[in-house]
Amino acid sequence: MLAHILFWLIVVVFVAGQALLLRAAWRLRRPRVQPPDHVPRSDPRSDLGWTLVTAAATAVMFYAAFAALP
Amino acid sequence: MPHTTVRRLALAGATATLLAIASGGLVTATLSGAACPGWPLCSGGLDLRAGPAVWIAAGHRIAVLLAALLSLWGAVVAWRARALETWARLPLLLAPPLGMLQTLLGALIVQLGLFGAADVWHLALALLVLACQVVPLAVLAQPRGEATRPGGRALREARRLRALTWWSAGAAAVLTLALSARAAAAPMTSAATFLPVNSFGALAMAGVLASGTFWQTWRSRRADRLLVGIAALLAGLIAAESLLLLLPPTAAGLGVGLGALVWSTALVLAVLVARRPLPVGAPAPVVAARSERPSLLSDYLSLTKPKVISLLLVTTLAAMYITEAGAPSLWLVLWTMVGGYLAAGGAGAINCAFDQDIDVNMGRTSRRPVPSGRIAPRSAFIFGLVLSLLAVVVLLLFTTPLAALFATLGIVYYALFYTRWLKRSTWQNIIIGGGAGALPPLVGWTAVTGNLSLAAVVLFAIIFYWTPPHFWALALVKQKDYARAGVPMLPVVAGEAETRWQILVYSVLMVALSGLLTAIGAMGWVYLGAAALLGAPFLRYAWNTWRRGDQASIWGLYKYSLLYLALLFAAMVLDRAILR
Repeated sequence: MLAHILFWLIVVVFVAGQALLLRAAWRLRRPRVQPPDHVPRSDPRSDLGWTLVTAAATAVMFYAAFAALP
Repeated sequence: MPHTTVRRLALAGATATLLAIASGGLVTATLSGAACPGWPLCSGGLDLRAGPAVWIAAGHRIAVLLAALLSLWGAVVAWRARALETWARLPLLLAPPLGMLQTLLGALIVQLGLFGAADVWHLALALLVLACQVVPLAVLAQPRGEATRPGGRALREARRLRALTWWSAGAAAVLTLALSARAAAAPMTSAATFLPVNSFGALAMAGVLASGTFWQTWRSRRADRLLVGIAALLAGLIAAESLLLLLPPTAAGLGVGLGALVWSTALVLAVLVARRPLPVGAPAPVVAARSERPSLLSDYLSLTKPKVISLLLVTTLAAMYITEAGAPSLWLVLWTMVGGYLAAGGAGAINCAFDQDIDVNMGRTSRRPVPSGRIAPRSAFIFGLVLSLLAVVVLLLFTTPLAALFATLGIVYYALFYTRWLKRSTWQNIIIGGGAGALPPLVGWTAVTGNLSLAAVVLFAIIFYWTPPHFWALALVKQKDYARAGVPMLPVVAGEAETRWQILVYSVLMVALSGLLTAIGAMGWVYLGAAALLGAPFLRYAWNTWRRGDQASIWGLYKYSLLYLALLFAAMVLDRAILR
């Protein structure tokens, strides 16, 4: 029972955290500061894509953890 | 000398309370409470023919009575001594009511017949009474000196030491309570079973914190012999306590008395650390300027980035000891470490070869062998390639194919994917690139088991989420260097505020994730307690980085994150050792 409570607590933190990170990646599509000219600009869509990939991979890990709960 | 009577009474009261706690532990350990069922006097009275159990129970009550009388006397004297400092007077005034509450609880234990149960509240209140006598004693023994003006570094070190001493005191209290739970004949009836750790876990935690306190005292206040001596005494007492754990649980009550002594020592140290004068004007150690050119051997060695590798190897080693396959052989450990060093060193050397154009523009890396021209990029690349090949051969021959595969993946990930592409193209470089640094536990895990399991993946994820706060803290400090070198680190392309915010988010995620190992049953509650204890300062540093954004908070986060990861993995090994 305690393991389940702990697991769902961590899931809640992760859902909130990943939502904040996705929002940050979305916000950073438009640069907020002007970096020096020689610093390369990344493709905003790929940055958002990386964030989504990270979130999805983490979600898969949580699904496996859920299946392994005692 | 002022307040001599108060000091003597506090000393006598503390001694009597310590005696009462020790005798209480003895009562629990020998189940003597049942031999003396009446309260406050033993029904049937005492005579010379009474057995040792009756005398132990009666002796405990006499010690409690003596402690109560002395604390009452101390409170009366403190009440009249209005000039007494608040931190000396207030605890002395609090001691009698706490003692009374504690005695009433003792009476309840007797009346309800819970003789075998070392009620955690009974003991906890006794420890509080003890604190109310020990703290004034230390306060009166060490009057606050004149205000000094130490440097910022000395202040930071002092803050760290103060925090460590209070954590040690807390751990000593938990240790004493856990020992009483171990002594209880019927733990199911003991409130002490609510403690999140058993006596072994509590001892380990107290040991780690006391060692840390000693190390920090030695590091920052080594000229103060008294502080160093008390910190050493604290560590020594905890070591002595560990010997008592070898005795059967019925004798563990004896350790309660020693635990109370550990608690007193930790409190005295905490008070003295806060009140003794800080070292002022101590000149910073001067490092002799090294004008001579480093040898070729040391240059090649530095290409492998030994400092960075040491933390990677800690995670590899820890992962080897926490698998379900049991403790590995020392030969396997040795070859995995050799293979791990060669793989990480090879990848580091290739990174140095490829990053010459970046390293030359950064103060931190401009003195490396390749940017300073002592080793050609081509030579560094060949050296890295040879080391990498050797790593794969060693791991294939002496460990498992899967371990060799993960090591290869780590080399390619870091040397090519991160160095050649991610680092130079996106602010996600550190996030996605963190996967390279997260692979060593998988190498260690699969070297022992030959297969991958969920717990190993969680280890990977912990390091993956640990990487952004760690490297962004460095990037915040060195952002001008990164901008000059044209590396799109987050502070350079999104600003400080955004970086500080994301550091906080990733820190929260990482600390939360550290608990997943317990949820899936891979680790126990000892580990979870340690992860929470270690995670709290991490979150505090991350919070301060976000809110204040000053250099002290950022550097604090960077340095603590290194210690955090090593200690977290050590806690996993400890937990597994206890559960085994």
